[in-house]
Order: sequence, then C-alpha cells, then structure tokens
Amino acid sequence: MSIDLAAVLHDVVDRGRPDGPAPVDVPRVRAQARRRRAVHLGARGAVGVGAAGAVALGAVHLAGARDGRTVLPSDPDAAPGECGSSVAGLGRTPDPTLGLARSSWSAPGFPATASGPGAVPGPGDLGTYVGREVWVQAVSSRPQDGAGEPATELSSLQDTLALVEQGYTDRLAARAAGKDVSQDELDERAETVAALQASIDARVADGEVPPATPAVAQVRVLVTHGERVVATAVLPEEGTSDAVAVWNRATSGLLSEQVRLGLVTCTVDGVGGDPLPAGTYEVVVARGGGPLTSASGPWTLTIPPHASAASGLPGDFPVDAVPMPPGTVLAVAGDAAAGWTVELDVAGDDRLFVAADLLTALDGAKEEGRDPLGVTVDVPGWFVEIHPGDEGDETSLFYEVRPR
Amino acid sequence: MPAWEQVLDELLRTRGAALVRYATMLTGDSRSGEDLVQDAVVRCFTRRYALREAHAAESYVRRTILTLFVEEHRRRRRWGAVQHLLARADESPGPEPTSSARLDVQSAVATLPPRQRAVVVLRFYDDLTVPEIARTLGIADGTVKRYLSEATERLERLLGPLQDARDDVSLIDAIPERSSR
Repeated sequence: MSIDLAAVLHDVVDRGRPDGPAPVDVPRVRAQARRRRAVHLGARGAVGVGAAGAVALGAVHLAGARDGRTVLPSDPDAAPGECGSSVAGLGRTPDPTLGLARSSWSAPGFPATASGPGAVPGPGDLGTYVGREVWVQAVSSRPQDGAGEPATELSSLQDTLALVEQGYTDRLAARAAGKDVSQDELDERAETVAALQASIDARVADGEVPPATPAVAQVRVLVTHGERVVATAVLPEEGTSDAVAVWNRATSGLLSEQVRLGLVTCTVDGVGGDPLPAGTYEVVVARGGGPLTSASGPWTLTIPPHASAASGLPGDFPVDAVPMPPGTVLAVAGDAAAGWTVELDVAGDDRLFVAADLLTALDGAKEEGRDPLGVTVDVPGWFVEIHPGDEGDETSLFYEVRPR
Repeated sequence: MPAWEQVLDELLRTRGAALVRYATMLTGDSRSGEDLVQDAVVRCFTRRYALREAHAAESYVRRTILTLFVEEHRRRRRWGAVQHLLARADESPGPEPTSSARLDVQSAVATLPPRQRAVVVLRFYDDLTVPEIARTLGIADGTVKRYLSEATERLERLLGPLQDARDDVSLIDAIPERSSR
C-alpha cells in the first residue's frame, strides 16, 4: 500500500484542530502590525525624524562616496565604550543572554523576530550594507530587559497612538518649517489620532486597565575597527517614548528590539559624521550605561567599496525619474513606450530599501508597498517595482519600470 | 476596528492553527513555526493596500512564510547550521486522534534538508507545477526537479512507496543526477 503524499500533507495542515485557538499571540501580532503600519505611515514623505523617526523604515540613505582617507576616531583618554576608546582591554566573554542579529528593516527576508528554539544569536556576520544607516536587532533572553506584559488591545492602541501623535507633531513642525506637507495628510493623521483616542477612552471607560510599562534595558552597540570604537548606538534612543522603547517578544520567549546604527564616524572633539570607509568592522554589544568592563561579540559588518553609478542603460531610459543605486547593469530590455526591465548587480543586504528610498525621496513620489518581497513606488511618469535577487554570492535588484 | 484588523483576526481565528502547521512542516518544530507565522502575518498586514479578505490573505501569508523560510536558509547557506530545525522536540498532537500515516509523513518530511522540504510542500500541498515552484523559490526548473527527486527518494526510503510522488516524478523530465532510479 502506498501513501498519498498530497492527501496526507493536506490532512496534516488542514484537518487538525480546526476550531482551536490560534497558536499565536493575536493581540501582539496585531500590535506589531499596527506599529509597523504607523511607522510606515510616518516614513512616507521622508520628513520628520523625531521619536517616530527613531523607528522610521524610510530613514535609510545611500552613503554616498565613502572616502578611504577618512580618519577614524581615536581618543586614548576616552572611557571604554566611548567614541574613539580602545576596546582591547574589554572582556569578550560571550553573553548567552544578549546578542545581535540582522534586521528585516535593513535586510529584507530576515525574520522580524529572532527565531529558533530560544537561542540568543551568537557572534557571526551581520551582513554587508551600502546605506548610511543600518538596522540590527538586539536580542535578549532576559525577561527583565523589558518586553512587558503580553500586549492587550488597550496597550496596543496606546502604543500606536504614541507613534501616530508623534508623527502628526513632526508633520506640523515640518510644515511650519516650510516643508511640503499637504492638509489632506494632516487631516488623515488627525483623524487617526482622534479615532485611536476614542477607542482608548471607550476601553478605559469599560474598566480595562493596560499592563504597566516596564523599565527597558539600556544597551550599547559599538562598531569597532582596529580595537577602536568608531561608531555607536544606544537603546533606548534619546527621546523615545516608553511605549516605543518596549521590546518585542517572540513566542519563543526571546525579546528583540531594533537598533539604528549610523555607519558614520562618531564624534571626538567635534569631528565626526563621515561615512565609514569600506572595510570589515567588528560590532559588540553590552548592557548598561556605566563604565564598560565587558562586551559580547564580536559580530562582523562589512561596508563594500563604493561602486560607480549604473552604466549601460539605454539612452532614453529615465535615469533622473528612476534613480538607481550604484551598480552594474546585468540585463536591460524594453523601450520608452512599453517600459523597461532592468537587472542591476548591487551589493548590500539593504539594497532593496536603499533603492526604494532613492525613489521615494523624489518630489511627487508615492510608495504603494514595501515588504521583503519587493517595493512598488509611483514616481512622476512611471510606476516602478523592485524585487531583490541573489544567486550564490551575487546580489541584484530587478526593476520593472512602466509608463503611467 | 479597521478592516485590515478584522481580516487579520478572522485569518488567525479560522486559519491560524493551519498556518502554524504549514510553517511547522517547513521548520520542523512548532515553536519556530509559530514565530514564522507571526513574522509573516506582521509583514503582510503592514502593507497599506491589500489583504481585505481572509482567503486572499491566507495565500499571501503562506507565500510569505515560504519566502521567509527559504531566505533564512539561503542566507545561512550551510545546512549544517540548521540541524536543530530537524529536531522535533516539542511537537504535540492535537486533541483529535492523529493517524500514524500523518505522523510518519510529518516526521519524514522533517528529515529533509530545508530547500527539499520547501519544494515538497509547494508541490504536494500547494499543488504548484515545477516552473511555478522555480519562480517562487527563484531557482532553476532543473534544480526543482533535482530537489523533488532527491526528496522523493528519501521519503520513499522512510515511508515506502509514495503514490502521487511516484506519479509526479514520472511526469518530469529525466534527471541526470538521479541515475540510481
């Protein structure tokens, strides 16, 4: 007797516990989606980098020409962990409760939450990045680091309200500063704020009590080169609200939080802010804001050499309307009437979002969708879809550019 | 509650358990399966325009589950690094009786390397053709055939003859690598 594989697989997936409770934390999943949507909303238009900007997906910019002559920070008098300090004397005992991992916010395709059977990721490769900023995940197995109680409807609404309110305030400030912010956009945000507030008020009136917001861990991420700290990031970021600073909790029990790491030199004596030169850097992570005595790691992070602007595009390709990151054109087909398909050899795990941000920074651009599978952006005159590709060690972007 | 949240709720209420079982077939353990579903759902419902209907949402979430799974292992490149995923430490049967065939197949599928597992799930659960699987995973048709063939061989060694798999393999082109069959 033979086994009907298709029938058994359908039986496995579709016929077990059909009416049982969803084996996922539904309020938390909904809260995460709300948060990401609110962040996404805040990122569109690429203005406003306040507390909401601290979690803005759109805040990725192409690094521009990296100068190999950039002087990396060095300060022999700096306390361990400070900019320019030496990490040679730091203990490097692996900390099984704290680690780093790639983030889907910079490396599409990577799980948003740390997966695996409860294991904090150990030292390894954090990836290759061409943007000026990279997001990585801090991952902890210690509940006291601050994921808080399980999300409830009320706490989720409150988290989202904090984000949307901050975004609204940033937009108002941007308009006051002369930025192009439409009244429709402000009205949309104001309506969202009002609706969220009304929902919260109703739940509070019904006697619902949100879980207490816990104190979150202080975490330092240090980028080092030649045993010197050359770039830093901290959690929680300055100005971040308690609601935003709360870490995410996976069903595996691990906590994770996004760390925004600027790939620019930190500042010593007023000098800094230059893009880090191409090379491989070591990254360590440590808890606490006091004097540093040990750190976990190192992980590695690579900045590739600066590539030349994409060449080999047809003469009538709209290079100004559809800017692309530097790279090599591998294939191109089409014409101005039907549109083009282009395959571009581009380095960097963040290439999809870097490419997307080049488009969304254009006047009149409108992002229609963004996820690890691809990005769609309307730019004046053109509808652009970008998908990431890789084959072995080669990484690429596929563009579909169609006239609107 | 916004429409997308209603769709999310309905999807997880009616198909959440099935999605986790689908993901668990790929990951090999239910905890990783739950995390994978959670990631996929968050990603899918972060899109601004889409997923207004639970049935369509399920397809999209399943596709995203698969993409995340494959991307994860494509990045790791070394199958040795994912051996822990093959362990089935915390799988627990549901309240209803579970057939031995179901358990056997689950266990056997869990022993496959991740890409072979993905190909088997796409072929025999999602009912995709070889070219469709190739497009979904971003690999060549020939590679899909090789994975299918190798997976079928391994499953048959563990389970005995596979009715539809044998039929299926006979429909695809001759595969040089499968000289033993």
